[in-house]
Parts: sequence; C-alpha cells; structure tokens
Amino acid sequence: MAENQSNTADQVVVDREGAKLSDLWLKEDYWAIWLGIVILILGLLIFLPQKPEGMQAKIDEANTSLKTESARAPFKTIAWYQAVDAKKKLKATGSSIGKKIKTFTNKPHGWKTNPIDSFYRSQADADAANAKAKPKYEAAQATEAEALTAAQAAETAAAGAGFNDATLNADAVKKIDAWRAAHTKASSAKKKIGAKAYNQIPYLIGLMIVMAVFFGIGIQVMGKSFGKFFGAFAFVFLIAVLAYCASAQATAKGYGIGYAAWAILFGLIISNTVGTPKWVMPAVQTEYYIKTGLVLLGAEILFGKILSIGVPGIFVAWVVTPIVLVSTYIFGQKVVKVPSKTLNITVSADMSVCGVSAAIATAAACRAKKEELTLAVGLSLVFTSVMMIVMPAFIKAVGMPEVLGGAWMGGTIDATGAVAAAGAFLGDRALYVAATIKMIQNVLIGVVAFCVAVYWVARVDAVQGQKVPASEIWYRFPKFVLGFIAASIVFSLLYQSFGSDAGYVLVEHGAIRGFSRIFRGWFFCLAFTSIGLATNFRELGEYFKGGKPLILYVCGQSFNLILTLTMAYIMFYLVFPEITARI
Amino acid sequence: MEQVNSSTLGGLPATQLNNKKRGKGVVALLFSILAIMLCLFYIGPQLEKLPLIQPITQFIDERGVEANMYFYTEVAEFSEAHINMDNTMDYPPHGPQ
Repeated sequence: MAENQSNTADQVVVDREGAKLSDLWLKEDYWAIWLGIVILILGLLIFLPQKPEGMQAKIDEANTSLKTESARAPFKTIAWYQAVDAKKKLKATGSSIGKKIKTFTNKPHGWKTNPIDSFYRSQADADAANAKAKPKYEAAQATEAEALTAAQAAETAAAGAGFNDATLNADAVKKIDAWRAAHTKASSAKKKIGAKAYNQIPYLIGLMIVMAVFFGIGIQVMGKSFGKFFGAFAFVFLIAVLAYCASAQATAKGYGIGYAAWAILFGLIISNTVGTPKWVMPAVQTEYYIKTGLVLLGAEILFGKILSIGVPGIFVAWVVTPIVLVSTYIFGQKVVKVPSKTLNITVSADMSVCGVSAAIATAAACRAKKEELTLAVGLSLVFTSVMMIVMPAFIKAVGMPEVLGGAWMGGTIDATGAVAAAGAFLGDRALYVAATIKMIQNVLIGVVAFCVAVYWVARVDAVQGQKVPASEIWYRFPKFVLGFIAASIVFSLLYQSFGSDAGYVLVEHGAIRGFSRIFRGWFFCLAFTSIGLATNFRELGEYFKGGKPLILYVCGQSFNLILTLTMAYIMFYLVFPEITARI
Repeated sequence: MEQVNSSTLGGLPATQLNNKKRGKGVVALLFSILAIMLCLFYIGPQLEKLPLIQPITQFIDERGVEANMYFYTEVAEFSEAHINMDNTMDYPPHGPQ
C-alpha cells in the first residue's frame, strides 16, 4: 500500500498544467501564507510599540557593567550575572496588552489529579496553593541569600589578590555557581507562590470563535461552506483543548508527552471506536492548519541564532545534523528498504533535526501521508522520553563534563522541551550548551524543509530520466514553504536590525513569544487532532509493516549519538577549548 | 458515524447491526478513556518511583520545566540559555590582563 507512493500517477511530474492567478485565493497553500502574514503583521503592530520603560537606558547600563566586569575578572562575576539578569527582565510580553493577550490565548493550566483545575481555579484554591508553596519559597530564598553572601566573600578574596591567585579564583567560581543554582531554585519556587484564580472557559470559547472565523474565511473563499465548517470546528477545537489539558497533567509533563501525542491519540480513539461523525469532517483540515502553522513557525527561525555559541555549535548542529539526515535517508532506501520515500525522509528529519517540528515541516514539504507523519511523531515521542531520562543519568554516571554532555544531548534528543529538562537536570552549563545547540538545530528546519521541497518536486516526483523544466518545478512546489522561508528571513532581518538586546525584548519576547508562537501551537494541535480523527489504525499498521520505521530510527539515532559525541568532543575540547572555558 | 449500507448482514437487520456496532464503539471508547486514566494516575506515578526515573521527573515538577514542548520558543529555559550564551560570547571574562 505504501509501496512506491511517490510513483503514483498524481504525484509524478508529467503534466504541464500551469499556475493560475486564481490560485492566490483558491488554493490552501496561498491561504496559509495570507493567514500567516495577517498574524505576523498583527503581532508586530501590537508588540513593537511596547518598549518597556527606559529600555535602552537599562540595556546600556547592563552592557557597561558587563564590559567592566569582563575586563575586571577572568571569570563571570556576581555583577556580570546581575547585569544579564537585568536584561532578562526586559520583555514586551510584560506590557499590559501582552498580559491581556496571554490571558485570552492561554492553553489549559497545569493540574495533577483533578482535570477541572486545568480550566478553573477559585481564589480560595489559589490562596491555598500559595500558602502551601510559601515555606519552600522562603527556604529557597534564605539559601539563595546565604549562597550570595558566600559568593561575595569569595569574589572579594579573589579580587583582593588581583584575580591572580588560581585557588581563590577557583573558589570564587565554585561559590558563584552555587549561588546561581540557588538563584534558579528560588526563582522556580517564587513562581509557585504566584498562583492566581482563573476561569479559562470563556476565553477558550472566545478563542474558538476567533479561530473558526479566521480559518472559515479561507474555507468560504475556497468554495466550501462556512456554516458547516464553523459547527464542525467547535468539535475539533474541543479535542485540541482536551489534548492541551492532558499534556498539562503533571505525570504527562514529567515524561515529556506533549499536545501532539495527545491530539493524535484522542483523535485516533474517536475515529476508531465510535467513528468520527460525518458533520465534523468539514473541519478536519490537517493541511490547512499545518501549513498556516508552518508559516508562523518560519518567523521563529531566526538565523542570527546560529552564531550563539560560535563555530563549535555550527559544527555540532549544522554539520553533524545534515550528515546524519542524508546518511539515514540513504540507509533507509538502500539497506532497510523503507517502501515509502516520504516516510523515510520524515523519520530521518524527525530523528536528526528536532523531532515533531522537523517532522511537520518535512512531511508538509514532501507531501507525506498523514499516517507517515503520525508514525514519525510517535517514534520521536517514545525515544525522547527514554533519552531524556537515560542520557543525563548516563552522563552523570560516567562523569562526563557538563559542556560535553550538554552538547551531546542538545544534538541528539529530539524534542526541545526534553533537552531543556535533561540539560537543566545536569546543571546550568549543560543547560546553556544543550539549549543553544538545539536552538541552532531548530533553525536548520527552514533549510531542511526548503531543500526537501525542491528535491521532491525536481527529483523524487519526476519521471526517471526526464528533465523537469523550471516552470513545472514552480507549479509543483509547495507554495506555503515560500511563506515559511520569507517569514524566517523577514523576522531574522528585523531581529538583527534591532540588535540582539532590543530584538530579544521586542521581537522574540514580543511578536513571537507573545503572539505568533501561541497561535502556531494551537494550529499544530488542531492539525494533529485532525490527523487522528481521519486515521484508521489498520492503515497506520500498514506503514509500520516489518518494523522498518523503527529499525531506521534506531540505526539513525545510534549513528547520531556516536557522531555528535565525537564532533562535540573535537570541537569543544580539542579545537576550541577557549570557548569551553568561557562557558 | 460509519454507516453499514447493506440491508442485512449476518442475518441481522441493518438498524440492529448499526446499534450493535455503535454499542461496541462506545464500549471501546470508554475502555480507551479508562486505559488513559490508568496510565496517568497509576502506571505513570508508579514508574516515577523507579530510582532511574524519579530524580528527573521530580526535578521537572519542582523547576516547572516545560519538558513536553517542541520548539525553542516554547521553553523558558531556552531564552535563559540564549541570553547567557549571547552575553558570554559578547562579553567573555578575560581580565585582568
């Protein structure tokens, strides 16, 4: 069934049908671009004017302090960290409109045993939660104050020796590290005493109406019924809400099981038990949601980030990853003989780049089947949970240095959230390196999606031996990828034009994290719900025949683990040890 | 819902067959919900007690890490890591010369 899918008549580039002007308003790909642009422009219009008071003066003050401190001591001093903390607090999302948007677009809240807590919390419950968390916060605060005093004393002693005494310097670094760890713990504890009362239900209903109208306009113009879509959308949205609710449950969160898994699972359960009601089908628009979400994802791919950790990061994330991706794909074709090329590339990208996000982008770029995307996502989620638990334990057990361990995990664990958890579990240095490597890898999604789209229309979907003319490539090219790339380029340029400090405040912690990212999450969740609602277990089983996707994933990931560790060691310890020493 | 078009199958009238199928579907749905609840409220927490798993799940809970997110813009730790690395590269400690 899955065999030679790329050679089915509808996918082979043989016809010379040209593009029409009406495609601009009749095709889903273009609607994804228009809708994406609307959200991105809206995000910029809302957040760019939201400069925190005295932003530039505070940035200048912090940078002056950083410059002074970096020249004063051979290690990061207390004042150095405090200057970075001061910059960290500046966010456009902290403005009153930013907070209102957050309240309106919020996903269901975290809960442990009662799912109602995900949607509603009374003032009394909030007060009780705060009171319960207070003793822990006070203890963490006291520990932080103590650690700061010890760090100050050690730094003063090191400064007294003109920072020329290696023993005193090492002691100061150790004490400052302990203070930072205590500071992080106290910050986390502080969040738990800030519980507020909420009732998310009216906001969720409002959000559902906004999104139904937003997508419904395109549906209507593309010649389908707005009314039927609107009613059906409420059902799909409800399942998406339940998926977010399940992912917010403490145990699910602990194992790194996110909304994508729950959305697919809930959809699958409905479609394979009582059946997806026919009236829901008009809103089961997987591609429409995914493509719109991908245009928004483009804005989050900021190319300036690839230099965040210098050359070692580029080697670990941008050299190893494409090698693993291409090798796994070739291995899948030649050795494992995965019958479907689209399944092969989706699993390869999902495993080598960054899990679910890469799987979505690649699957959409090569027009993979929904079952193939489901399989790739499923494999990634299972291995992410296992690697998130096993890798830090192994790294600790063998005594691997934090920087090396962080680079290794950042380059190999698929899901971004799991990288943060595993990295932070090892320590701050491991977190910084792991997160930065993963972030650089995230940026690679844009390049991978573009290359896969071009390769597929020009080579895979073409008849063997036939040269595909440029006009045909243009006709077959998934146009939303252009929106995805354009959004990435525009936002990268915008970020650079502001400079990294103001870009952080207004673009990343404004238009992106405060707006487009929220909608992108909802759109992907709706897409995964739609996938589940339209998928049959039996069909899914066909794609897993012989366990070939699993074999491909395991072999590719094993190669990834070896190559990433080797490259990380060479880069961080043999070629650029000075960068490692700085971290 | 999935429809059965033939008038009779296996000797049962279509409407009766539909009801039977629907009934089976509802049972399967309830069973699935039960299985999910079992995983979330019993099997998952039991596994969390294992010495290999407990430290990291406890850490995720205490620190509030969004371990189940898929992109760097969804995780607060990435923002922290990025700003720290950016400033480390821009203002690397090097003194006193």
